[in-house]
Amino acid sequence: MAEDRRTILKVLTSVLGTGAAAAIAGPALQAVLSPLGKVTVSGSGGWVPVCNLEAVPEDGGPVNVQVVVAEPKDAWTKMPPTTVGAVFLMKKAGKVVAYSTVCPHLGCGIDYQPAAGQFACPCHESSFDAEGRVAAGPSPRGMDELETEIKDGAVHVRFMKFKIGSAEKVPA
Amino acid sequence: MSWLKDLEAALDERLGTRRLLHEALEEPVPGGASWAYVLGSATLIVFGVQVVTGLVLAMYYSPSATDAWASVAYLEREVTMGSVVRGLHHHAAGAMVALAVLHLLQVAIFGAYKRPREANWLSGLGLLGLVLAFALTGYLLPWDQTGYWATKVATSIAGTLPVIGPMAQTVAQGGNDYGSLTLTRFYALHVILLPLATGGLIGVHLALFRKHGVTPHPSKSEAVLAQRVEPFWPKQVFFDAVFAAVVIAGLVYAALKIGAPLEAPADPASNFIARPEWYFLFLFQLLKYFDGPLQVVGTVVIPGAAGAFLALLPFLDRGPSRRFRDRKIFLAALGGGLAGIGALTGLALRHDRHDPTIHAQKLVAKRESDRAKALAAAGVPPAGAADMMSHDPLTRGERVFAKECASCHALEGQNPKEPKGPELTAYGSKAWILQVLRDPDSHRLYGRTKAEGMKSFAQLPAADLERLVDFLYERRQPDAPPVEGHPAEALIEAAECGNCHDFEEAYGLEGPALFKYGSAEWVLGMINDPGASHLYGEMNDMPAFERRLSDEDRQALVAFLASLEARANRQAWPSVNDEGPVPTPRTKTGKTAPPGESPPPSEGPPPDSDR
Repeated sequence: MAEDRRTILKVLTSVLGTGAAAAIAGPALQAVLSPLGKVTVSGSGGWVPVCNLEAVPEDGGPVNVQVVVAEPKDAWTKMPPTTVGAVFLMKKAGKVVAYSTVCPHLGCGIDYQPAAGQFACPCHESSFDAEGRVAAGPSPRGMDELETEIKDGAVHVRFMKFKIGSAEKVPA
Repeated sequence: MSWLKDLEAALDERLGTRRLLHEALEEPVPGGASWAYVLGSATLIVFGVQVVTGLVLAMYYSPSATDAWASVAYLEREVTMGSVVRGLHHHAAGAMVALAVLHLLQVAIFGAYKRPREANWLSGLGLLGLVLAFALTGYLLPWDQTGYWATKVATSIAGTLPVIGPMAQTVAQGGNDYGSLTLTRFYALHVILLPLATGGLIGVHLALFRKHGVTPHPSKSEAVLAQRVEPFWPKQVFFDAVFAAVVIAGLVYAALKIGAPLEAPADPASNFIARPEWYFLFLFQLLKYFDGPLQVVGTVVIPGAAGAFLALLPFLDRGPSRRFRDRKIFLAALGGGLAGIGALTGLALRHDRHDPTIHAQKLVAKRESDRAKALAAAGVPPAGAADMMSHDPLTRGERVFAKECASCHALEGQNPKEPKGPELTAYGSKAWILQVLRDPDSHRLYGRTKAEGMKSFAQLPAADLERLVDFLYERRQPDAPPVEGHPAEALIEAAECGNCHDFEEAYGLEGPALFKYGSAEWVLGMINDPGASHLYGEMNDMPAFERRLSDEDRQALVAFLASLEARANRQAWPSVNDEGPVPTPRTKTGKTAPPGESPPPSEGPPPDSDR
């Protein structure tokens, strides 16, 4: 009889103890795992809206737009708008393509020359055709194309930088 | 189940678990298990809750003056279960204090501090001190208004100490003033030093407890105790588990239902009324009775004497008997001290409950706290949450209003000593405009100003009044149709509004031009130069603020005034549908409005709060 009572107490104690521990550990564990699947730091290698679709010329010619990360956020902090680079946008077969303005040769800024209809880097005279392929000069590869996406009438670019000076296009 | 037995045997062979478990669980309890013993174990378990929840909080907390508040707001808003974990930590802190004090009382009443348990009593007192130090350092960490100002009182007390005061204060706050170094210092104490010290002292406390065993009720004789000896496990553990489960259930309930408060970000420029947590209220109340050179009596002498009495108790009450009748003096002293703490706490709560200034301040505090949290949802700028608030037009406007306008204009139950201008509750709303039409010379409106004397339209049919109000309310729209051809044109002409007011451009007649009346531009014009010829001209007695306030301050005021309509209580003024005029006694000589006439505060009665 006394032994039965002891067993009941043991079981009840275990149940209570487990319940109480779970009541604390449950929320604690969920909070620790909270960052899973969340964007806690924005504006790094992510998609950036750069301009309205209307700003890209219909004739296929390029437009140079700045890539401004509007409010890069790191957890609770909202940074001031930051310009992180620029891209050329062109309409091709109904789609918008984007090229980085960074010359793959040595990292200078590429210009567009409307008269010649081609891109040119002023530093070491590399030039690129309208498709971004090397037309002349020392550049080891063509201009770096960036992924684009149209959302709610705005052009978004997945802005990133690539390794300078190599024939392969690899993220820097 | 044989594999369990094998595992147990294998573990015992390697780790000696059997002896450990036996030591831990088979401890004989003379007189048997008792509910009186559950307080100590519950305190320990709640400390465990603090370790677990504190660890999680530390993962999301940033101890810097610009980031601390924002990081806590982020935890509350964005982190899964973040508000629950913080709520647990907050309420468990209060529970720690309560349980530790109850444990102390139980031990003291049973006379358990007597030889040979003096060291155990002292280690327990040390632990209570550490619990209070945890509470004090933790309260500051969110860097919100209450934490900032209440903790400032504590470090300022350190500064008033004789001789070492200034030095003690500088060391305590980590510099000449509160700032990031105060936070890093308090954080280091709260999460490193205090936990280490507490862990060590708990070890000592438990080891001594195991050495001396429980102290049963004083009325039980040795023979009675020897008759009934039970092992610690399972009955006493069961009692402990039941009580701990009740405590934890209470904590979970409080965390879910109440959560942890987060006031607006600490603002050194504000005049926040600091109140400590409930368990420090008696010390706070004590401060009120001693001033000048006697201040040290309330801050140090009385609390110090109480602490010294507790520490010396085992050495004062030296008799071998633990019976109540042999220890009347000491039990009376304990009871007296407890009654004193209770009375002081009650007085502090009662005072705050009946102080209208505190009620009003709580409303502002609630509004600023809600506003800060809403703004923080979009991210806090690098300059910090306080800076974010100071550039928020609504918050800034309210602060400018309190400083520059509230001495003449009543607002939402806050009456200036000598109201000189119209009350601005629900300013610009249809209810406010209606009131001006009905009873412009009421002491709540223009009766006390040089602009008194406008005709009352209270006798107009309600429908006409409503159309006039709508017409005036419409003036603020950029595309407001002109009087000419307006559906209300005949009404306006019959009321002869145009005799005194110009509606078509900013042109002064006898009364102020109502062109764009109520628009941001018009309101800014009033703030800039109310005596301008197109506004009140000769009739004006309000100061011009164009040169007295910065551009940002005046714009903020405009935004704040525009927000009064939405936040006003519906009863602030009689509603548009009310019949007839509201009789207003002409008390031009009366200095303040009769108390019954002030409108109720817009958020309803302030919640009873212990803070």
